[in-house]
Amino acid sequence: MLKLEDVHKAFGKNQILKGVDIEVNKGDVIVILGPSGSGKTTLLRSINFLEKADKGKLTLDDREMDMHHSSRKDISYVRKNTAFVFQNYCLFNNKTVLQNVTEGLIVARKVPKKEAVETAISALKKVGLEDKLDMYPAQLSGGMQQRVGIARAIAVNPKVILFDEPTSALDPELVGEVLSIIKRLAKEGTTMIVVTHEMSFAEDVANKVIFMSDGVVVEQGSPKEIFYKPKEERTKQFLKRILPVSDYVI
Amino acid sequence: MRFKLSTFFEYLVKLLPYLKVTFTYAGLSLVFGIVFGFLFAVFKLGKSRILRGIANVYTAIFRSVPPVVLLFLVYYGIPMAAEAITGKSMGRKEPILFVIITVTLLATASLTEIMRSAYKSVDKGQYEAGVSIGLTEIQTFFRIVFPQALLYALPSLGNLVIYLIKEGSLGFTIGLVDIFGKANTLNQNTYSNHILEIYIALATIYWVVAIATEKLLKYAEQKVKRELGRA
Amino acid sequence: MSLNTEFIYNTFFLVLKGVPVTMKIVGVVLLISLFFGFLFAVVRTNSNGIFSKILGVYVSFARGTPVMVQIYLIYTALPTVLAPYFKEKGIAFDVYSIKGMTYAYFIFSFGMIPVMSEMFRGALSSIDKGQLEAAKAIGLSVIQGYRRIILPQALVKTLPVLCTNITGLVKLSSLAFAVSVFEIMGIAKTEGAKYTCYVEAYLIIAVLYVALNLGIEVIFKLVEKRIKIYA
Repeated sequence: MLKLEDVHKAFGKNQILKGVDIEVNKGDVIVILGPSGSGKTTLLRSINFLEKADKGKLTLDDREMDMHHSSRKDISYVRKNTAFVFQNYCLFNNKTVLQNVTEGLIVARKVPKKEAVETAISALKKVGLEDKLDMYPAQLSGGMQQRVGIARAIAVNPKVILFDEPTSALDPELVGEVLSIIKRLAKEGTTMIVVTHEMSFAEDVANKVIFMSDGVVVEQGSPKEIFYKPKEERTKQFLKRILPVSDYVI
Repeated sequence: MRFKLSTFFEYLVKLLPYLKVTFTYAGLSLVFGIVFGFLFAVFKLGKSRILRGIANVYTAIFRSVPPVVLLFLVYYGIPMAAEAITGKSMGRKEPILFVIITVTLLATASLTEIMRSAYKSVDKGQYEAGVSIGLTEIQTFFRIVFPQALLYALPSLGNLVIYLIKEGSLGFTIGLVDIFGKANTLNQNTYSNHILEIYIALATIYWVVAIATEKLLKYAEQKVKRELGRA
Repeated sequence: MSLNTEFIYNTFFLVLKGVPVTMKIVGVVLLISLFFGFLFAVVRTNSNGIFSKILGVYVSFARGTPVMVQIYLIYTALPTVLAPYFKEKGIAFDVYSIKGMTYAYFIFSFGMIPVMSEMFRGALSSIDKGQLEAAKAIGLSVIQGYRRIILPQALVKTLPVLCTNITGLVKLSSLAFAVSVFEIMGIAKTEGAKYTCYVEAYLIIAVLYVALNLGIEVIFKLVEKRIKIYA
């Protein structure tokens, strides 16, 4: 359903992405792992053009587009068919919880207000925040804000949801509530690409793990393959540093 | 020292109606200043080197020139330029026109900075969240970024209004009959017999207006902040 | 439209003579206002007593009223009222003997002190409390903490605002003609009147002031760049 080919991106003299290929099928739950600087966030952000790739081809549902010479229509098409969940939630500060979730429907997709509100409320129910409709982001905890962010993403019924380290900015005790929601979405068949450090998540629900380092995909496979039988030396090095020694045998 | 309170109030009442003039030039300059300031702010934040250069030159000049100098330059220069362009003499020169032009030029320079800074204060994530949800850039700007930038700009706007009123008061030097101009006339007509009362009344009016503007803006700020749930 | 270039050329050098006068005003007022401004800022930051409140009123008045009004009150109105009063009481002080320059120093300082005070207040309050706590934790006394840790950081934080204030002071000095001081503005005005080449005269002044202020900004930007790493 979604395919990225030969993606390159440099920031000034820094070559962050050095030719990355990714393939996503419907229902896939893909986790991208890697040390900081590996380019995983940049890759994710280049999918919905928050970063403009220097080179690459993106194919979404049979529609091909050049990632560097993309037209406004292409970008709009991608953005209307994907959704992004930010590390820092990025809820619209000047809008209520309900308005945050309906904004994408009413304004971007011209959904009539009544229908949009219904959809929004059911999305908020899914994340357990249907009682906070009229509150503003500043009044919510980090975990709650992120849940609203997820509801905002689900409400527009995207083909794939992009999660950029969704729990990294949360206090430890709030990570669980957000993680469980994302896990539930995964089990329900939502297609998603998740950049995260939460290994438990990868093991529980991912069907494909991609390990990136230094701007390239080093290795990819099922969670079992990557965690228990990594083939590349770089992968092994990374896992050694991240995983508690007793849990996995490298 | 002779200072009669009753005379003071007498002149206070005589001057108050002329506040209308002060508010007129302050208000108009603010409106025009916002329009042009917005334009130049867009130039400054944009990609075009030429436009950025123009905006930078404009703000550099009009933030460095003393208001009174600009006023005289406008007062003598614009009719001269108009004559050169249209070949016709400008006829009667209404002071308020020149005051408005001068204050607008100054306000634009300040507002460019205020808007640019307010815009930058809004977290980039707000814009990114907006477009990633499918909103166009324009929609994201007007519905998400701009309202928040406005909140950041409020305190500076308050200061600007007070500044416009103070600088515009120089209009009396070219004959504008606002509260300052009227105060001078009243003083001349009474042969400086009530000079203390007149000018203290004048100062009082300006002071009260400044305090009122500050309080009004603080109130507006508080209201918006409360609405958005911020402490 | 043709400008009298001969006039410009001749008058330019004449007007330049006014620059030292401007610099004198700026220099003296700067020193006075920095000193008292800092003093008052420390008082207002660290206490809330009656003195602090009086200062608050003073700041509000100085910032809310136009400088011209302050000039008219102190330079024009006060002497007119004091002269007969002194005569009555037999005080042998000739109110009119005070030089315009003295008035300039006094009135401009009156207006500048609050501005500097606000600048210092902003800097003092923006210093992270943790800095003082950390200083105390390693054994420095409060005074040492202020002198070695807080003050240097406060000074660096004030640089951009200080730049704005100094350029503001330069612009303020253009009003010295109202107290009969012949700095740049005063000279150009008389020359312009002599030859009715007003536009040219004010053009010269504008260019001079803008050049002066831009020069000051450039210097500050250079200093800021060098110092940036230290705070």
